[in-house]
Amino acid sequence: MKKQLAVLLVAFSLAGCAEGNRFTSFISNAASIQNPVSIDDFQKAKTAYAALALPVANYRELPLCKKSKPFSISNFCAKRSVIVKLQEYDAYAYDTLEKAENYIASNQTLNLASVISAAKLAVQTYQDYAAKNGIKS
Amino acid sequence: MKAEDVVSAIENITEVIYDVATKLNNVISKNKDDAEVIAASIVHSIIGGWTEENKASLDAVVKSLHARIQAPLPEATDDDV
Repeated sequence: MKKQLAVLLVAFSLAGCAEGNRFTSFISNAASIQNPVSIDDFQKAKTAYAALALPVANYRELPLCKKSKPFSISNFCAKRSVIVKLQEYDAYAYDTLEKAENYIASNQTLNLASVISAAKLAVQTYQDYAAKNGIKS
Repeated sequence: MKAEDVVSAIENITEVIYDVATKLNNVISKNKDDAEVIAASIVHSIIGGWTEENKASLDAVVKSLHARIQAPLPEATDDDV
């Protein structure tokens, strides 16, 4: 066994710099594959945002409900108070997605999982509030 | 109930249904293009195969929807809900 290990170590040491770089690259790739959060997760979060933003945008563009003229089958309208809150959640989700996208574009990896997770959480929180108010993607 | 009252009631209901259908139709036609891009993105999220073109289309839809949502509201009034 010791002899086999020694042969393996000698093989690596004789492989030279080029081989060493390939080995480092392989380890680096393997590490990123094992990472539970990937760039694909970012695209999923962005897609989830778009699927939610479509009905929210439609809701936003309805005429505002009034105390004197509430929602009815002949008066499709949106509550101002709900729109204001949706705009807050939307702004936060959009910003976190943008931050994650900029981070990915800069080819950094150290905080990749945390920036993508933050974006996913922001979209999820936005979805939860919208669903509570009858707006679903 | 008189016959003319029945006719009038049917006309009123027809008008409401037509109005609702028109509003829904306007919303559907406005959203068709965005919905196609989102549907394609959902498929790519499940089975993979993202291209740069897909990503750019999704990006454009996201920016446009975000701008629509963030459009400023008219000034608040006491009559608002």
